[in-house]
Amino acid sequence: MKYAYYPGCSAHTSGKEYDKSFRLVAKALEIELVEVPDWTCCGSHVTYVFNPALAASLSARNLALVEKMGEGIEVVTICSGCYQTLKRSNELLKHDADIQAKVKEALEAVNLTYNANVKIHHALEVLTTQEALDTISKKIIKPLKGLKVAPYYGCAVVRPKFEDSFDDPENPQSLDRLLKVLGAEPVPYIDKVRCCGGVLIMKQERVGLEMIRRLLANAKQAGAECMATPCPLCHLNLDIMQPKVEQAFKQRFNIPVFFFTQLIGLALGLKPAELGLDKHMISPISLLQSKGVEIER
Amino acid sequence: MNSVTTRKITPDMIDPTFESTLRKRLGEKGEKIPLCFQCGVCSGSCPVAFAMDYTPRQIMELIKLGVKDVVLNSSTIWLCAACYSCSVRCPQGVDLKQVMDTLKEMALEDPKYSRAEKAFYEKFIDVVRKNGRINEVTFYVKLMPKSAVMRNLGFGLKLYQKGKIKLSPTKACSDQVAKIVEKILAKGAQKR
Repeated sequence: MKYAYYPGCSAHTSGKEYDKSFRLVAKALEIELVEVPDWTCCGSHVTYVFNPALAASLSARNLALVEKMGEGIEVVTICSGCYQTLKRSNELLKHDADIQAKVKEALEAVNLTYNANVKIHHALEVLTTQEALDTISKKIIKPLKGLKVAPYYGCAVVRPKFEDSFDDPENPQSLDRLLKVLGAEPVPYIDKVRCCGGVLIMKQERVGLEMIRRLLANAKQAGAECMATPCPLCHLNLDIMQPKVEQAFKQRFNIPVFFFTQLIGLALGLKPAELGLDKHMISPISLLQSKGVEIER
Repeated sequence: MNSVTTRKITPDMIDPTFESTLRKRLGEKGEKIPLCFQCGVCSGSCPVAFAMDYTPRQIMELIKLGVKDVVLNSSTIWLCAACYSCSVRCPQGVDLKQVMDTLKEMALEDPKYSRAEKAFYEKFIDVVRKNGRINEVTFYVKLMPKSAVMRNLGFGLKLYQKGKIKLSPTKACSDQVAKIVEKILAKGAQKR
């Protein structure tokens, strides 16, 4: 299996360990990733609100580069925001004549054309097909036995309705199924698709913190010892901002939050350091040790 | 925030073209707006409703009444986190997330409604235009007042030590991105 890989901007900053762990896991599962050369910002929802044609053009630049990588090649991204934006742009470029015309002209300025033929996938989708789950289950060396995980999907990866959405928008199951294959125990989590607030943390900090607080409190209530997510922005809010939430509401959570690729990596026997587990604000190390995962110093 | 809204709506506040303008901009999705029967599933599902001055259900009714100023001045449109809870659950098929997006778009086109909010969007695009990619720190420092940046220095240092943030911008093909941005924004400003 071979994919064009679009990491997204967060892969070089707050979501470095997501990028790292995805590449390692893909390699272990014999999925070949070829990074899209010279990829740039997908446009993101922020640009969509400001000017849809601009957002679609920024997406189209990247999709045009994918198209140039070879006929029929499909692209995978780890970022739920990019996934949503690229897919939305792609569908607009198929059906909206006004957007098509503006994008065509913008791409001409940089000598590119895009025929809207690229298929876009999320890493969660690619790693939870039946085929992928079968391969993973054959390669597991260290099952995550007894690890109680709140499967937190966030909204961008399952909620928007696309022509080829891969999971249920209200009660998605792909991450739950994966966690079971890894030997972990997904807890019934009422907030699995409830929004973390996204960029509200920058615009309205107190509102953002309250939204994160609720997600953490309900994960704890459900008996989770940790959370797993496929979204870098959700991870930023849940992990990086967790100390701020604890301070603001005088409530202690101490819930480690994993990128789901890190959990696959652990089960496949990859080392915690190479998976970037030392990068998290809330350290998962003592939790993992209590479950019998060896941590090398 | 959290206060009960008691503002009285008077006939002079009504803009009879507001609903139809919005519907037109929404294309096919706009056809669903008249179907809203005020059940409130959107408000009950909205994870940010607790902080809004008007709930999503109220915004729908205000749209139908044509009270443009109230809708475009509401905190609701800026607090909407675009999570699709409302869109997924609306029994009448209204894509309320897209309605909110389009309301933001309309507000951003008129400084009367968006003086405070516009900077967020403009500075984001500015960072992308200059660098090709977005870097949280570059954007944050550009956006926030110096006092807020100073207050968060300790926190930032912790993140830096963890390798979670990069101080220098993340660059790639910014010349091409700048060309695309200029091409689109030069034409009819922000009109779709």
